Amino acid sequence: MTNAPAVSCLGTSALLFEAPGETTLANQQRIWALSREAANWPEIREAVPGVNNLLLSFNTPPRCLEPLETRLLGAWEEAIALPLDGRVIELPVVYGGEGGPHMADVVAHTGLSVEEIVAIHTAPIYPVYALGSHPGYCYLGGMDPRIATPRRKIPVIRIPGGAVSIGGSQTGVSASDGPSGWNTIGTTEVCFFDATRDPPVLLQPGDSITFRVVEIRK
Amino acid sequence: MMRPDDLTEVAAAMRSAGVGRLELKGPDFHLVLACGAGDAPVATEVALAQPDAEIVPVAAPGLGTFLRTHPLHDRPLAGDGEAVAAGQAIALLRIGALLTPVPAPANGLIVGALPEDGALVGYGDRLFDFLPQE
Amino acid sequence: MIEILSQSASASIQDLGRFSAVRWGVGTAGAMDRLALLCGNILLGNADDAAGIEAQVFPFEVRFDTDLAFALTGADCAATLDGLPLLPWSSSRAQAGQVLRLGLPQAGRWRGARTYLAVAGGIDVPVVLGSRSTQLRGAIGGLDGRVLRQGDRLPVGPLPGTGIIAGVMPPGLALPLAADELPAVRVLPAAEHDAFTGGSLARFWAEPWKITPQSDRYGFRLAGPGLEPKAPLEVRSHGIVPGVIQVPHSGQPIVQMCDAQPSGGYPKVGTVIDADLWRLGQMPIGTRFRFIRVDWNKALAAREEVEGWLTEVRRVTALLRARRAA
Repeated sequence: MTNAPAVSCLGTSALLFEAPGETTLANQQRIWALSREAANWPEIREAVPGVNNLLLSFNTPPRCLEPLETRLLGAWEEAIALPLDGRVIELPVVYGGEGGPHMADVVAHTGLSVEEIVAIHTAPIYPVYALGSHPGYCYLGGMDPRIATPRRKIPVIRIPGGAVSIGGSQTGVSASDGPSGWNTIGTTEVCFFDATRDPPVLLQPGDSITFRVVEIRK
Repeated sequence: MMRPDDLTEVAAAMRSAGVGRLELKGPDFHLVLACGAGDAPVATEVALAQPDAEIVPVAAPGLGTFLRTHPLHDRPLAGDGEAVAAGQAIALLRIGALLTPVPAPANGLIVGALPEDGALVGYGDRLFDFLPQE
Repeated sequence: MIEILSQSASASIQDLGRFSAVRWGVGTAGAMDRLALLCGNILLGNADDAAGIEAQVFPFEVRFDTDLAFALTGADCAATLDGLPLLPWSSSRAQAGQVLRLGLPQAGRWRGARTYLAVAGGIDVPVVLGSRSTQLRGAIGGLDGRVLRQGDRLPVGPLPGTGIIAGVMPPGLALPLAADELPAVRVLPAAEHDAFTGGSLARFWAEPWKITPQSDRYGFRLAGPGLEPKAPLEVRSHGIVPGVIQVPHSGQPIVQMCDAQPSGGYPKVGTVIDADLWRLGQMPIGTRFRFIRVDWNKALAAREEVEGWLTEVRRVTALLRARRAA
């Protein structure tokens, strides 16, 4: 962690801005504000928020980076946290059973029972910090550290879309089939991405998720 | 007219003299012997031309640097004495970043190229002597 | 219409990429060698972003169901049309019923790994989120968001009518780049560059890297001297671009390529510059290559060199088109 914001480049394709200090919701709300501002700059093709950071891709790389970096740091200073007033979407989840193949590993690591883990997992409102990883996938904040479980040593080649998982101190839901190194504890049937819709995603930064127990399977 | 034994002798003589290509013309024949590097000399194509057959020129379709070999390849598009199909690219003209093909005017044999490889040629310059065949 | 005859399932429809949906978690996809696809489109008189077919596994065969001009660029595959040899990096005309066959990439004066088939009018699949490129995760774009299969019949767009029959000097020969006689790509250091030990960084820049068999459109896993962080590194999930060189715990770098997920949480030592991604995308498995460290100005100069070369290709194409019309 640094005490000052950091700006670096990703080749000549993009700038990456890292907010200083610990990862917080307050920082993330300022990242959303910064993203909204920078997305309108003429040099910028797209503003892509990450977890307490922001990727700004170029239409054409500028001849000189310093003026843009200065403007970016200045905009961060001015950035006022956008309120967390998006939609709250409730996801119905079947915990454990076939759709939660790694529930036992979370039990083993935390020492908690399945019922306790489900109660802790379904309690918070999880803000959507950013989208990334795969179409419609949300990086969520707010997981209770009591159910944190390290990422798996050997990732699973194919976890289905809808898989509800815990990776380290984070939780998330896969939006489509793909590989995952997280611990899958349940499954939901919500559709997170539809390319034919505008916007194509169900959830955006500033929205929030809650998990509701449909069933706990052994 | 040459007999097969004569051809073998001529080919052997070519090889020892280091002659790569020999062209003989008579009133009713046209013979091209091509001797490749390395192995035994080989008469690649023997053309017993019709009495009224003619060598035709292949002219440059435009300006450019004359290339018999594609820049990615080691061997020419079409070697001397080689039979080619109508329209087949027998050379390239390089103009800056582009390479325009020089097509064979008919089915036939490449007799020989006139410009050096890499020479700048202009529109209409004679690039090849070509022997059309059915 | 073009019909896919081959059984191998690794060819896909790609254009220059999908660049404005990264904030939705949608990666860029697109041709691994954009320069090659672009050259094919220029020869055919297509729009720059017309979609073509990227072939990665050979032999690969298609049949033209209609008369059609097409171009083959990228790796030289000793291609034939109804058995007659075609020149690499060139456009040609096919008649209805003719079969195009791409053989194995040839070991010539420049060797590639992927070949691009562009057709006059482009492959006419729907534009999704601004591009026709195939994004496998999420089944977006291309033909139903998947790799091409035997029997697929692909529609072709309206003919531009402005193509020429000609070849292009392969950029691998026209724009050579090497370090100590090995092919090379230029890299700008990334945020965590200085977090690695000086010794391991010196080896990263000075020694050859090998492209392992575990390399594909998602990423190129490299084998070589390991990179060691000075202290354990924690990196938050952030947006990335193709070319980012990630360093997982093993210390063996992975260069993120076109189908990489658009965000990552691994330390990054550098980014292969966009202007050199085509070079890397064309290196076959087993290639030994070098990274060349550059600064911002040198990276921009590399980009301008490629743009300048493309301008030249367009210029002479227009010249030849005008001459033919006259």
